[in-house]
Amino acid sequence: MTKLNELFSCRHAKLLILLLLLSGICAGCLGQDPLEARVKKLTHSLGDKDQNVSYASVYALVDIGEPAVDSLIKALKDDNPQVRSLAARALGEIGDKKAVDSLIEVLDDPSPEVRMNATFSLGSLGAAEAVEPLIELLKDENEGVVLSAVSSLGALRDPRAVEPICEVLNGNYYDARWKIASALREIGDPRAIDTLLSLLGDKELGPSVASMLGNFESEQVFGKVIKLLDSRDPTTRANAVAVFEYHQDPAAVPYLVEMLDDGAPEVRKEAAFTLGFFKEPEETAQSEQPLISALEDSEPEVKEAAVGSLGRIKSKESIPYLEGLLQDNNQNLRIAAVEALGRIGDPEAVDFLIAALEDKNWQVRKQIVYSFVEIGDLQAVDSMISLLGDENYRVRQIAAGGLGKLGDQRAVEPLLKALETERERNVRAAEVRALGELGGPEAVEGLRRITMDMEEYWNVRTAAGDILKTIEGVEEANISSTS
Amino acid sequence: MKKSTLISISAALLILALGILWYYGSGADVKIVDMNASSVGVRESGKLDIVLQNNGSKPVDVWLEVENAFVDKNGEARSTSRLIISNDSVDPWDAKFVSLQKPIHLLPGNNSVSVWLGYELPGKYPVNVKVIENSRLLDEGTYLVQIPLPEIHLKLEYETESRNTSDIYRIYGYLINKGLGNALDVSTNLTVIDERTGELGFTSSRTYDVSNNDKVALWSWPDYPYAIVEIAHGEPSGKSYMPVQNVVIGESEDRFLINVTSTWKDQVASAELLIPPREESR
Repeated sequence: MTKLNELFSCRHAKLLILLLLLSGICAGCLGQDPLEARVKKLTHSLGDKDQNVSYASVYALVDIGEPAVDSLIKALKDDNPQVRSLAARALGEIGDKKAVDSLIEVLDDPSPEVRMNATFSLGSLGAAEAVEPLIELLKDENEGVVLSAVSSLGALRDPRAVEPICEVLNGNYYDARWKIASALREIGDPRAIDTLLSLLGDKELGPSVASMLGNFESEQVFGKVIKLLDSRDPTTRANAVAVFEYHQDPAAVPYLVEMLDDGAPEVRKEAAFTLGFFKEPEETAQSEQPLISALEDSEPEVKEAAVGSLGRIKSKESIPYLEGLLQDNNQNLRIAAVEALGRIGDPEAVDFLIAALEDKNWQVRKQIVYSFVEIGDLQAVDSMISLLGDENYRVRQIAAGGLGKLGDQRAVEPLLKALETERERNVRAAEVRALGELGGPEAVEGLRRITMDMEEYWNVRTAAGDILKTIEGVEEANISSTS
Repeated sequence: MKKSTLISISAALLILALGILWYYGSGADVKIVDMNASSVGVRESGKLDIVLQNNGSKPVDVWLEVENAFVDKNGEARSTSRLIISNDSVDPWDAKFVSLQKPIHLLPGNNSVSVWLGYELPGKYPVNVKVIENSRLLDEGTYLVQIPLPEIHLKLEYETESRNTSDIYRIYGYLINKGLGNALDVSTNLTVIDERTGELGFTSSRTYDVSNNDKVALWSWPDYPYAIVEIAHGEPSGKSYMPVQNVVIGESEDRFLINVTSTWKDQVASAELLIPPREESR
């Protein structure tokens, strides 16, 4: 029998320790946290040469979220710039503020991609403590880094960044001016106003800047913009007028009316267009007649803008003038006049619009249907029924939709008849939906036939089926409520 | 080998076995109790709904490994990352996506999850689902997903108009799929043969995609037919019929056989029209 001391003799003890170590290693491997192991593997994959793999690793780490943050912070010090750069990006996407200090530290990384992604992430994290370092980065030699810093400072909305960003705007970043100006708008500090106003004369950027100025308080902007209405540059004047689309200060109306007589057509057009946003009675009392007079302008675009505004302010006085424009040679003017008559919503206009259905331009006919629906007068139903046979499928489609909205049962039979011959998928779907809106036994029967037709377009058959379910559901509810 | 050595090895193996038994023996009691997939066609997104039952009294985090959930046109199974969604949303696009990079948190009782499915080819696909906790397989199940075949048909129809001394036949056609799977890249050929002379008028071909239980128009431009046949009894009208490309102009004695044939995998569908029809000859 083996003695106990023999069992633990030197040779046996060595073997035993070896086996115990082996089992310890196995247990260690089995016991490793799989999430931790996956984070480690994915962080390593950030440096993969295959972009599909490295980017997929970023997405996966972002999915994992907070448990991946420590590993990513560590990766900011990796030797491989790709790993550092993607780790910086992933930290911003995860959104854990624990990463802020480490991201600030890599703002002086030798790789521009790392600086850019760290900058982006600091903006995403809302890291107020990063404002000063980010301002410093506005002097970076790399354009991508500078623009990323501008965006992040815009997101952080710290007024300290306004003047440095204004300097960048006046620098050599011509193609990125919109992005830089947007950052100033985001911050919303009044010190940016003068810089933004100076861009109103820019043909490309001016209209966008006009809308950006809408982000500031009216009293901060009003006086300065009014002064620009006297600018010698027509682009500046037109864009200054456009600012009032976003600041509808009633005090601007007399100035805008005055601009209807400006020498430059683009200014008159902008003034005519902008006046349509001032809809209060005391405002329209000042603008209605000047806008009607603008219908005589020599420039069709000015006329079109005036027509649109007369529609938006619902000017009944303009109806006879708009009727006259229904015969104009310019199709855009005819379309605008039809749209304006619809917006005004006076049934008096229906007869003019019915007569205008002879128009050869399908867009005019389509717009007439929209206006019929907006006016909501049932005397248009017969004309709309005749449009179910229009030569243009878009007109037929809109007419079917309009008949459904008007809700006149007279349209059921013509819609069913149209479905017998209509070939275009979307028109058929519109006709089916119109039948659903109109309802009634005939419509239901027609819809039922469509649901059973296996040679029908799928969307048409499905629409009919869905409508029937709704109708049957309502009927069941009615029966149960009466019983 | 000495007896003492054998005893030493046996003792060590026993320790190792006990260690492994201890490790695996304490796993959570999670079972796949149900798997179900709604009908899905080729290149449609489908869902495999899985009910996981956690029989323990505490929540447990498990990992899912899914094989064959996505198979490409070469028959290769693709990764199933980010495919699990919570089952509390009717609209799959509004559903909350849960990454497969993270464990799924199962509460005691039944838990529903869904896996996106997608296949580029019809066939039968065994979708294998493994439920794993800390590298330990808790349960495994397979669901056979069947991707049905499309069933293609063709239909031709026409309308006539007489203008001056010509009869104009406007031909319309549809590729119809009465099956459940989508048919993609359906090769469709049009041939027009003058029956009188036996000459080929023209041919044209195009490919179409048609979804399950749907149809597509063969014409390219809305409100314009697929093909036009003008039978001129005097001077031809001289119209170009643009943008219609499939145009043939014949004389009074001519009769054209319009044939359309569609081919998809091993399916062939065709339809024919004789223009003018026999009873309509002037």
